[in-house]
Amino acid sequence: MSHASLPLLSPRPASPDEAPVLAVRGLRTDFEARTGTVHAVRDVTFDVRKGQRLAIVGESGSGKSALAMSLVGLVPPPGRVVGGSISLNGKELVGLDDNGMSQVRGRDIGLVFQDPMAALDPLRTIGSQFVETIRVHQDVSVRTARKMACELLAEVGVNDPARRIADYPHQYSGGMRQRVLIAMAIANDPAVVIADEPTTALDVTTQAQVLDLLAKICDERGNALIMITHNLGIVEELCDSVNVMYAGRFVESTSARSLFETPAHPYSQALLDCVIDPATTRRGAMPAIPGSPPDLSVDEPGCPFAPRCPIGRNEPRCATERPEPRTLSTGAVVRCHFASDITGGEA
Amino acid sequence: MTAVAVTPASPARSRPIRSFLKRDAALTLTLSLLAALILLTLIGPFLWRVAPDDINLSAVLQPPSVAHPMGTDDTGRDVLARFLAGGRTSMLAGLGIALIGAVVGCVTALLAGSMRGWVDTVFTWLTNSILCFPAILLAMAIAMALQPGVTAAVIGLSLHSFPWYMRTLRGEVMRLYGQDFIRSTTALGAHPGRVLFRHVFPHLVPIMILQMAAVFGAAVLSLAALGFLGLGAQPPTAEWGEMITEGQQFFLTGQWWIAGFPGLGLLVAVTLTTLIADRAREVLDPRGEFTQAK
Amino acid sequence: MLSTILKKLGVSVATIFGASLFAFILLRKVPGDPARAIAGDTATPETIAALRKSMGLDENILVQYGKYMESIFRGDFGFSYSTGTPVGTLLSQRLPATLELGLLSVIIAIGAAVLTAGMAVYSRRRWPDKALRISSSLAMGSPPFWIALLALMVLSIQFGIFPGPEGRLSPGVIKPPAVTGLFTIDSLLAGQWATFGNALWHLVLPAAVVALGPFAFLSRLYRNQLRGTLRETFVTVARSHGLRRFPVFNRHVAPHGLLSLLPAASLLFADLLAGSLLVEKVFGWPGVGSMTADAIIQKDFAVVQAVLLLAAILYVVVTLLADVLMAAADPRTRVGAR
Repeated sequence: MSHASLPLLSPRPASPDEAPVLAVRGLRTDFEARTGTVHAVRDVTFDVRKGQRLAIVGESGSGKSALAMSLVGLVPPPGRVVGGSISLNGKELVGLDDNGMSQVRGRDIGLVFQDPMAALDPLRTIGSQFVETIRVHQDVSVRTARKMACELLAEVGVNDPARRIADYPHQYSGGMRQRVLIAMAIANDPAVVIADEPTTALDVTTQAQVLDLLAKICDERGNALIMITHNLGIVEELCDSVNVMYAGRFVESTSARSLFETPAHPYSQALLDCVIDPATTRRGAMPAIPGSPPDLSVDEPGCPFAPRCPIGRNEPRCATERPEPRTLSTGAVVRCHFASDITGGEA
Repeated sequence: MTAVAVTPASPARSRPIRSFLKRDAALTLTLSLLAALILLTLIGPFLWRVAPDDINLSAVLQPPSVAHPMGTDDTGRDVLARFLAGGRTSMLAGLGIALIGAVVGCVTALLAGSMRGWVDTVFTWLTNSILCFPAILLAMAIAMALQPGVTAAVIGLSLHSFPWYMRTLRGEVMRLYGQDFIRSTTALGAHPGRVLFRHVFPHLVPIMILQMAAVFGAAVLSLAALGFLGLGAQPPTAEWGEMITEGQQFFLTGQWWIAGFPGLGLLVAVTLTTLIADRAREVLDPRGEFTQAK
Repeated sequence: MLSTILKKLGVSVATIFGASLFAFILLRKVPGDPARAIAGDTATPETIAALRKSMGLDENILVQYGKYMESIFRGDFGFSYSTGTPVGTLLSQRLPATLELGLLSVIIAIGAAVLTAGMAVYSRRRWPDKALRISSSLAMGSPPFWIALLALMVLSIQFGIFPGPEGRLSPGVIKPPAVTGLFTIDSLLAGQWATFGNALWHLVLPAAVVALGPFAFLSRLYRNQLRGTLRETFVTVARSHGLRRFPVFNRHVAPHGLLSLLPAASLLFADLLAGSLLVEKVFGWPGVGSMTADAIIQKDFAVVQAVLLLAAILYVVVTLLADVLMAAADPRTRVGAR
C-alpha cells in the first residue's frame, strides 16, 4: 500500500527504556448534556516518550479533541475529566486545581490549535500576546520577552520579526498565524506539544510547510509531539506511533509502520481504504465506511464499531461482549475479538 | 464523483418551539402567567362586576378590603375595577401597536429587500429618520398634533415601531435572497411573488414573533408613560399610566394603592414579556443574529 | 477608512434632513392648527388668519421649512408663546440640568452594567447570572415614572435619605456661579463644598432612576457579548499558554465586550432622553424633559419642534461618534491588512 505523496521525514524512533514524559491511564471525560451524559473519552491509556511523535487518528466526533483538552484541563463546560490519571514527569495532573494546571499549560504542555484565524486576539498585537505568553512562565522584563519573541518568530520563518511583531493578527496570513502560534506554543519549551488538527484550516501548500516546521522544531528541541488528526497522510509522513480512536476509545495502538503495513483492527483497515490513492481509485468509486459513528451518550454492551464492521455485523459476540485490549504478535494493542484472524489474511 | 444539484428545502423552524415548550419549565411558567394576566384583564370586568367609573363619595380613599380588594380612589371608585379596565386598555393597545408595526414593517421590508434600488433607499432613509426620535417624544408630538388619547398613542407608537421591524427584516430578506435555496428556486423559474411569499416570508415569521414580544413590552410601558404625562388615555378612561398619575399625589401621603397596583401590573406584565422574549430568543435565534436586547 | 466616515457623514446629514422635515410637516400639516391653538378657542377667524399670516403659516410648506431651517442656523429656535421667552433662551436655561442628570445616569448605568454583567459571566456559579437576568428583566419592565414615585415615597418620605421633589438644590441654597451649568461641577470649581454635597444629594436619586432602563439594556448586551467572546478560540488559546482565568478575562474578553457596547450608544441615548422626560416631571427637575412635557400640554409648537430637532441631531451625532470611535478602536478597521 502506498500513501506517500510527500517526501518522508525521518521520525526518531522512541526508545522503550526511557521513562515516559507523559503517562495517561484509564482517562475518562464526560459531558453532562441535557439529553444525557456523553462519554467522549473512555478509558484511554497511552505513554509519550521524549522526542516521540505520536498520532491520534479518528473521525470527527471520535473524542480526539476532547482528549487533547482533557490533557491540559481545558475541557469546556459542561465537560470534565471523571476518572483516570495523567502523569507528567511523575506529577499527577488529574485533580489539580486551575492555578496548578495554569503552571503546567504552556510550560510543560504546549498546544497548537486547528484554526489559526481565530486563535489570536484580533484587538491585540502579535507582540503583546507573545510577550504575555512568555511572561506567564518566565520572570523576564517586557523588553527581554520581546527579544525572545523576535528570535522565536525568526525561527518559525517570520521575515523581519522586529517589525512584524508590532502587527495585528489580521495582517498575517493563515499560514503565518499558525507559525506564530507554533512559536508561542514552544516559547516556554514544553516537554510535550499537542497539535490538534494544526493544518486542517490551511490550504494545501501551506499545510506541508507548517507540518515540516512542526517536525523540525520538535526534532531540534527534543520535545514530544502528539499529533491529533484525521489525515492518515500526515501520520505516515510525520509520526512514529499511532493510536486509532473510535467512539472515545483507542481501538488500535501500534507503530506507524505496522498500521500502514498490517492494520489489525477492522476500523483501521476501513480508514486506510478510505485514503484516496489516485493510482488505484477509479472514478465514481469513492470508498467510505458505511453507517455513522455511534451516539456517545450510550454505553453499549458490545463493540461500538460492530454495526459498521464487515465482520462484527454478523458476529453475535461483537454485539454483546466488549472487546478488551489484546497485544498481537506485531506489538499492536487492539480492541477487537477477531483482530489476529484478519491480519493473517494480509490486508 | 459526480456532483448532484440539490435544491435545499427551506428549513422549517416551527418544530423546535413546540418541543422546547415541553422541556422548558421556566418558559411555560412565565408564558402561562402572562396569559393569565392578559386573560384576567380581558374577562375580569365580567367577573368583578363593579363599574370602573362609579363614583361613591361615601367611600373615598379606602385601603384594600374585602369589598374593595385594591381599595378606592379619591372619588370612591373601585381600584380593582379600574385596574382591570385599565389593563385591558394597555394590553389591547400594546397588542395593536405590536401588530400594526409588524404588518407595516414586514410589507415595507419585503418591498425594500426584494426591489432594492430607489425603493430601498427611500424606505431606509424614512426609517432612519423616524428612528432618531425617542419613541415617547415622537408619540408625544403626535398626541399633540392629533387629539391626545389612546388612538393617537397607538398611531404614534406604531409609527415608531414599524421602522424597527423593517430594519431587521429588511436585512434578513436581503440575506435570504443571497442564499442558494432562494437563488435556485428563482433560477428554476418560480414567479417572484411566489418566491417572496412561499420562501422568504416564512423565514421572517420567527423573527417577527421575537420582535413583537419586545415591542409589546416597550409599547405597554410607553403607553403608560403617555398616560402618565396626560397624553395617553384621557380620564375617565381607565389606563394604568393614567391611574398612576391620578394616584401620584396620594402615593406620597400614604394612600399607595391607587398608583401602586397599576404600577405593579405594568411591572409584572412587561417583565414577564421580557423574560419570555429572552427564552424564545434562545430557541429561535440561538446565535443572536436578528435581535438585540431592547 | 476616511471614505467610510464620509459616507456615514452623508447618511447622517440625510437622516437629520429627513427627521427635521418629518417633524416639521408633522407639526404643521396635521390637524390642530398652531395658530388656532395659540389664539385660543374664542378667537375669530380673522384673528386666526392674521396670526397665520404673521407666523408665515399661509406659505408653501417647503418654503416654511426652508425659512425655519435658515433661522435655526442663525441660532433662532423660535418663540415659546406659553412662556413668553425665545426657545433658545429656554433651552440654554434647561439643558444643563438635563445634561447633569443624563451624565450621571450614563455613568451609573455603564458602571453598574459592566460590573454586574462582568461578575455574572466571570463567576463559575450559576446564581449571579440568574440574579442578573432577573434584575435586568425587572429593570427593563419597570415604568420609570412609577419607580420614581416609589423611590420618592420610600427613600425620601419614609426614610428621609434623599430630598423630596424640590429640584436641583434645597430651597435657600444659592446656585454656584455658572461656568458649565452643571451644579456639581460649578460648585467644585468655586470650592463650595456644601453646595456640591447638596447638588449631588439632589442628583443621585433621579439619576439612578433614569439609569434603570439603560442599565437593563446595557447589562444584557454586555453579558451576551462576554459570553460569546468566552467561546472564542483565542480565549482557549490564551488559557492553553498558561494564563489564568482572570487575566484572560481582563485582557482578552472584557475589551471585546466593551467595544461592542459602542454601537449601542445611540439606543442608550434614546433611552436616557425618554427616561429623563418622565423622571424629571416626578422629581420637579427643571430640565428639558419637564419643559417638553409642559410644552406639549400647552401645545407650544415652537418648543416641541426645537426639542424634536435637537433630539434627532443628538441621536445622529452620538451614533456617528460611536461609529467613528468603534472604527478607531478596532485594529481591524484602523490598520489595513498587510
